[in-house]
Amino acid sequence: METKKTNKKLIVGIAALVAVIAILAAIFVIFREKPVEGSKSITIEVVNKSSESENYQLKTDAEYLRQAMEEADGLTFSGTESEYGLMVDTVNGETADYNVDGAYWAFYVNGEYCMYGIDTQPVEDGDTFSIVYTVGQ
Amino acid sequence: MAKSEKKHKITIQDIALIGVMVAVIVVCKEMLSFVPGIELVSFWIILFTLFFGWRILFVVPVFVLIEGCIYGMGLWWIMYLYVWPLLALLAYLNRKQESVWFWSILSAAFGLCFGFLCAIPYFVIGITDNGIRGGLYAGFTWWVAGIPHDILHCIGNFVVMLVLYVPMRKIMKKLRCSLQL
Repeated sequence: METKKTNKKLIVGIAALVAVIAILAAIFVIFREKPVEGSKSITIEVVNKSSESENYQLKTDAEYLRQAMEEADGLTFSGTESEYGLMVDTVNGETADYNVDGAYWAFYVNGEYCMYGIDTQPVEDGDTFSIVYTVGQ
Repeated sequence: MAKSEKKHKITIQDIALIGVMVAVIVVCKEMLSFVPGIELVSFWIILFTLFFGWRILFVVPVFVLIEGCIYGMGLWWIMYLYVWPLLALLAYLNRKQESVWFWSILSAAFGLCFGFLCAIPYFVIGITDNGIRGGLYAGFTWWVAGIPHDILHCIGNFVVMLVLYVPMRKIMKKLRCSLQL
């Protein structure tokens, strides 16, 4: 009789625990902080060989520039993968060939030369990135 | 009368025992600090309270002080000041219980409530900054963010107590006899 009573208490205790876990899990799913879609607002400017400029404004959650560039509608780019990430040689169909005339695509963030490759260049809200066709001296 | 006087005197043996208990808690905590949700602090505080009684009144503050010295006395440290004593108090109030299931459930419930208890300072800070509403928002947001960890903590505490309580109880009983406590 005593054992039955103890077993009943045990079952009630475990059931209560499981119920509380389920309630907490539900609270978490409903109230947790969800990432805001497009939480960063940035601008990507492309200046081509003829010094014509094209702007892309986007809202993104991207942490790094490469992902943001991939999300920019209408912007295309390609290059070669290296240990430093993607080395961009073509933007919007225009190729900068350093071996021919010393041309390359220079990347700037808020007017400052980017210190990182596009795979590791952080993206922050309000940033303006410039991708400029540049001919080396 | 002599017995009563002895009862209230802290002996060298007590001091040594308190030191060993603190060392056991700190070492276990640091060794398992990289495993999310698994800790032995709750287990030891419950067991030490059950088997060594009043000595826990010294063990918990010294443990909290050492943790503060290791990691710095930030906001988390304020939480330690009341969370661990609360567990010791719960263990003391239920010291007659011997069921492994009871202690497993209590330990699990404590793990589940850990985040809620720790949200109290955020609630107070929120109140001072933005009134009751701000306090509720700050405390609630902090608590909700930690719920997955609390659930892990709950499961971890349950399993640890379920596995270790019976063998450690035997050892503790023998230890208590050999120390003539």
